[in-house]
Amino acid sequence: MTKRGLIRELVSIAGRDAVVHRPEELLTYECDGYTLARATPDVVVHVGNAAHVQDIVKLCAREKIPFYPRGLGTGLSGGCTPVDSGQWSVVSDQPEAKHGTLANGGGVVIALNRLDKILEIDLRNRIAVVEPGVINLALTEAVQGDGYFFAPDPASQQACSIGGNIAENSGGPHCLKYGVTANHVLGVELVLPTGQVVQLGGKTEDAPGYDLVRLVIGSEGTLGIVTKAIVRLLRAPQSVRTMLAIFNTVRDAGQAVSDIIAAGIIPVALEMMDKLVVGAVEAAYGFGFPLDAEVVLIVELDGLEAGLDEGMRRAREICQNNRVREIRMARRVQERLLLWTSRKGAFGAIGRLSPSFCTQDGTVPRTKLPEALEKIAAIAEKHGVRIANVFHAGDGNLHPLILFDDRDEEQVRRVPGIGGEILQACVALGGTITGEHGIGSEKIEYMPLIFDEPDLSAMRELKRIFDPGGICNPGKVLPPELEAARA
Amino acid sequence: MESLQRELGPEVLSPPDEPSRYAVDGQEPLALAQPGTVEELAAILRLATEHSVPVAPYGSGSFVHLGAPAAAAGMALCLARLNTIVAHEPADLTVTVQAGVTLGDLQRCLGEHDQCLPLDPACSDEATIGGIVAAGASGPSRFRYGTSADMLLGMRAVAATGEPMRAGGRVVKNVAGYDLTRLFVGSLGTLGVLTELTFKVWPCLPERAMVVGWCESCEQAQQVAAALVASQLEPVFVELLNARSLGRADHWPLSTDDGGSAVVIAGFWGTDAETSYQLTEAKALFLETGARPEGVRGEDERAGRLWLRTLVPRIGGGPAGLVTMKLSVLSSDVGKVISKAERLAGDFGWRCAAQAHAGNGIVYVIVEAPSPIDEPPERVAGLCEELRAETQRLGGWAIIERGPVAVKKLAGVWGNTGAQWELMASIKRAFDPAGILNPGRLTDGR
Repeated sequence: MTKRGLIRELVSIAGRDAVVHRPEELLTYECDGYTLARATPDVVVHVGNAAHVQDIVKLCAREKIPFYPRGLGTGLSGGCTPVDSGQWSVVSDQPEAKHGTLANGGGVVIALNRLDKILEIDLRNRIAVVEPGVINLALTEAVQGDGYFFAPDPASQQACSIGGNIAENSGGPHCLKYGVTANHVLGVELVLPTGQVVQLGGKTEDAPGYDLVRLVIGSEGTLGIVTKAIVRLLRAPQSVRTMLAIFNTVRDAGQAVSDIIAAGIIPVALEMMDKLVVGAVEAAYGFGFPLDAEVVLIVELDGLEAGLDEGMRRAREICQNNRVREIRMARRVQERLLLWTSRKGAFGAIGRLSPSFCTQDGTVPRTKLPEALEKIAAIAEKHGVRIANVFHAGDGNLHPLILFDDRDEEQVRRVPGIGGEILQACVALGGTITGEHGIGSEKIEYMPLIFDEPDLSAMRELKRIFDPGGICNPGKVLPPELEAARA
Repeated sequence: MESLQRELGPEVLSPPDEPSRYAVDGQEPLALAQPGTVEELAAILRLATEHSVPVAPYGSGSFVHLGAPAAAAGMALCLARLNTIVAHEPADLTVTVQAGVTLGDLQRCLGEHDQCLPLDPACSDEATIGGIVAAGASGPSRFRYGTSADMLLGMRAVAATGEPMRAGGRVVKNVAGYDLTRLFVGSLGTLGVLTELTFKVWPCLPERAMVVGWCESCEQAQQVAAALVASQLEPVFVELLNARSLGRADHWPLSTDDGGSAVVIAGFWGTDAETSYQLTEAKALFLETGARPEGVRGEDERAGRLWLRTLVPRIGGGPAGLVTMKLSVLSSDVGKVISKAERLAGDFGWRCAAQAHAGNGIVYVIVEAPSPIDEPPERVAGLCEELRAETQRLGGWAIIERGPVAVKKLAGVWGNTGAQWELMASIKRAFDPAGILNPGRLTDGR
């Protein structure tokens, strides 16, 4: 099919104002929050309803054109970026020509940003039915007046979509107590890559058969496109206490985290920021962080008022036993909110330190945190780069930010390798290569660090069952089969 | 079978001494395999696939009543010898166990560090962890802690072909690759044989208490439960039982003859201050909604023990009825669906015991008849179908959890099917190309 023919069909499905295809307009879609790999699609369609999705997927299936579901583009692993699949007869004005390169991956981006309606809120049953383009925070805002919230709270929650959260199985600072997205989704409507629509799960729990809802969650948009989701709402806790603990060494702070968990206290969040990050967020938000502190730890407890003071007392005591330099309690609501604004704005604030940065997402057992941080420091030193650290300490989920200058090609070339060394260090400590950002296109080459060929081939089997044509977000999650295995 | 036995040796594969012990829906196995290592297990599965011998993975038999009748008899594959607690990392709040470890042994191990796995399905301490996960079994405390799908961090399994598989890991956050771990939860041993499971675990809290309130009707009980769930109290469970189900309880500590027709039981767990506060508040809330509350503090056991499993009646553990159904409805429909079940059973001249995880909308219904063996399966299946139709009308699911083979066959175990069942059948074929793992149990012949 020619590109012009494709555009014509897409316009007839979704309308002229939905279809974007001019090269300058397509630049917006050449990457997500992971900026080191870029490729523009042939065309982007801003679908207006689920039927559009189904029709476009059917068209792509018929014409064997790869498609890429995209939410609000805040992903951090290149999960919605076109890639050169190497095997498609990618659309072209010259019917037989192939023009899929990393610079121009081709294919159709199915943008879900206009599917942004909250379809139903049922507080009695604590569920909401939403379209995939609903912004994460918008759902909480819709129900917080009634004392409810949607628990997954990635730092990008003001900008990211719930569909994207489902694709990536997003976490967030507060998933230490409340769990990740998978713990809060009851059902999805899924357009399969064949164009067929299936309802997985539902408003009621324990759907019979295999748990396909959980399989779809975290599959990074490679098994189909979610056009509707039934999610759980939680009752807001009665009360909350937040403290900031300032430490002189990362080791002491890491030990305090381990000791708090080991003491049977489950805070709702245990977040750490190192000196570099603290400097950047202080400049951005002026919270009043001490700029000479090696590391700060945010400890937040929520739940029944009756238990919070005792819990906080024990957490303070543990920090004191680990040589905490200073403890500050957030006394007013505004103070707590500013603290969280600072924490959640950390990635953005890093722009003050460096023209560009690349975020990693390794996870280690929580007791291995100090060791992991020492290894990261050694990697930074070895390569002569600065690495800032902001992370979900309570989950052992690290976000080392490798700072670099994107105008310096030599630096750009080295960054992925440095990220790879960090991931290898995490795996060596018994951890994994992604805690919440996903594999995307970014970390595919590291999948064999944690999975053997039979594990990967089981995943490929699943992919084939859902997507026999291999057209749904190709080039993500699963490394290509070894030539030997294919032969 | 004989050639398998020669290859594996009598210690690993033998004719079963008591075949009835391993029977599934009355079907006895032809052989019993008892691997002592994962390698032996892999060898058994490789050979079984080669020779197309059906395999029924077996833990302690706690949940063999689940699923459709097996398509063919084969060997029982007993996991009991794979019973090592591989690693408990108290400071990481994680534990890794082999599939044959019993729930009791696991809780004892965790209890030494004042930790627990808050999983409390209706089974004995002898139930194996692998079996509980494969059955997708859960209990009252899922209201607060979720099901095993929410607690699992990773798994190892052996595929039907004998290939080892793994997914997830030992860290609490992990999104690398497809989530095969949760695909195995509730898969009834049809995709592979679980060999090792890693869970996140929880610290034990020092104090526990329950509030029990009698209500005039299931609908009123439903209102009480709804008020609890909507409050800012943090119950571990909110159970709703009809009067008949109390009669089946094995350890019910209170009166069962209060003239009401349903009770709500809310459980709380926390520090002394938290528990006392919740006990007071919950009683007030019960009174406001018209229930007659009674508070119980559980002081008879160390907090490390799973108190729910001993204090809350477990009707699933009682004497078998005609048929047991599990209904999934919106929590706001729990009272309605129980009343409907009671009326329906009455119409048939039977009665029913019902226990609901009211906050989750999960209702277990046991239909009882004075003389179960005299009831024709067509009638029993008829009731199942009517109750299922009612549940589906409310947007829910109704499965037959336990019942005579004839009833399972007549009414179907799972009920409504949709396009997603085609996907499930394809997954089954991909994981088990020879169709040897519990054939027919989950995909119901599809």
